[in-house]
Amino acid sequence: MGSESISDAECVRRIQRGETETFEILVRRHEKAIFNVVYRMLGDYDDAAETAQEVFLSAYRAIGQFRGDANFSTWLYRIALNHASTRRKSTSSRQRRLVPIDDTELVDDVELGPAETLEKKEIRQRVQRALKELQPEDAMVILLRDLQDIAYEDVARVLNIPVGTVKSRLHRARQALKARLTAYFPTARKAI
Amino acid sequence: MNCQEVQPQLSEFLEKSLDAIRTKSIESHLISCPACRAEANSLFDCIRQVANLPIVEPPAGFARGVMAHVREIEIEPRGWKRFIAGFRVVLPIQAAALVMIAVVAVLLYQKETKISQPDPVQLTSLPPVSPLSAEEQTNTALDSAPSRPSTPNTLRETRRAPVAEQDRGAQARQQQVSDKLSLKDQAAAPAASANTEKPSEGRIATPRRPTIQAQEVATGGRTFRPRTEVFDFGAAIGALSQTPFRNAPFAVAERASSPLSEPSADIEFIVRRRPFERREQSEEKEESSSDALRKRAEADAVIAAAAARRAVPAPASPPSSIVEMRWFAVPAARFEQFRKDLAAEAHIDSERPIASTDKESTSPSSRELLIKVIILPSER
Repeated sequence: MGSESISDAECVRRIQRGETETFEILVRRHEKAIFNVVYRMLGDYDDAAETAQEVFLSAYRAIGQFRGDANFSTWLYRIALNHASTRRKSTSSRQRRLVPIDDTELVDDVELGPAETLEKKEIRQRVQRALKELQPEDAMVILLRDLQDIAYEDVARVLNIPVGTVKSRLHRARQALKARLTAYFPTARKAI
Repeated sequence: MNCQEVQPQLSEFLEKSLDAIRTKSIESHLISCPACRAEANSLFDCIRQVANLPIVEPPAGFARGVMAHVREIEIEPRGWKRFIAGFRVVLPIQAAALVMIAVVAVLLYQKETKISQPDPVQLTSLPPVSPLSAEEQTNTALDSAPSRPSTPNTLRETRRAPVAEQDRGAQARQQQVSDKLSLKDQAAAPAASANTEKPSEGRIATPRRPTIQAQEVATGGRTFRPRTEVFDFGAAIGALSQTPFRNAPFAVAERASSPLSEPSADIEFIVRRRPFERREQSEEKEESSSDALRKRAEADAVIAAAAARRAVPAPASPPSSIVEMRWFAVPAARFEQFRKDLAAEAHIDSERPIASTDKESTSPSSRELLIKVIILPSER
């Protein structure tokens, strides 16, 4: 039986029975999503890699307490939010590293010219910086909803808040992000 | 719909998660309101920019790195296993501690029971419970004639000393049962003044075990000898029983386990002490040999006969105010002589043959009769 056909819940049960290697299926299945959320929250690739690893290790340590009430991914996002928040506090207390969005984010649109490519890269850096300036919960709700396209109900489970609160918080977070990015989208006002 | 109503719903409007009516209302407002339209455009730009953020690939070998750490973690017990493992260590310790506490509690309980409760031997031989303490009982018994079958210290002590000599094994057993009681026994042997006996500090006021003469006689199959100096009974009676006392109808071991068991007497006498008479008492030491006992009994007979002739007036407070019971083994042929001597020594209130039918039918006239003599206080 291939690893793709095994559900998250079944993987968790096997791990709980002692099949440690099954955890690799879950890691490979969720590593990209978790890494990107953490990366967008932290804005640093190495920090994000380290934190994402801690997220999975924490999940493995606590997997015995996972009862399957929620999706494994939801549970994993919650762990990621906690680790990213902690990491943010620790990095903010240290000397703030002025590391720009590194070159890992390659602009893969070959049709764009150099100027457009540079502009696009700058906009991404601004967005990333603005996300990093948001409160962790606000950044997380934007990332989960707009980046990961997770349903309101699942976002509510990750943040452990009601769906209505998710909607209001999402609007507030978007307003805060817009306030930081308005200067970079002067043409946006002309839209519609 | 005005701007204050529209703007909070712009996020949901842009996500197209509103119902059709609201969506239509907001669309109408946005067409007519440039400010809300600009707000909606900028908000849409933000959402789009976030959504357009590229998906970054995690580092190569990320999953392998995680699994390498996971395998290291597996060497240690996992979180929940550590929790269980903690219990595995703690539970046996707790169980062992619990067992230890239980054992100590049981031992302490047993020890306390031994201290607080008298030995079953004592319990079975105790007289009816009296509200008076042991010392008060002593004083009361000496001051006035007792109305209950309790034994005062004076008589009990004088009787207990020869008991201690006759049956040292029994006393050793008593010492094992209760050190306090044996201490009291040792102190009581020379006690001539029970009135002055005071309870020592820390002594438990446990009622004394009255001496059961039947036991003494029964164990005296080898060493029995009537204590004429104690009970004022003539040595003639002692001489009557000079023949080796027959074996007790119950063994020593049986007596130890059931001190109240007594032989079935052939004949029971109830006698009353004669007042104003007293026999000369002589200190005698026990001898283990039965031959020596026989000789001694004969000598007692001579001495007692002489003492009876003298008939010395009784002292002011004769020790004859106690109900007592004595056992005698007398050859059937000499029973009449025994009765005669007994009548000479005390007033016979009643004589009652007990279980004589069986014994007489099965035994010849030469057999021994086991005689039970209940001695009542003298009438004043």
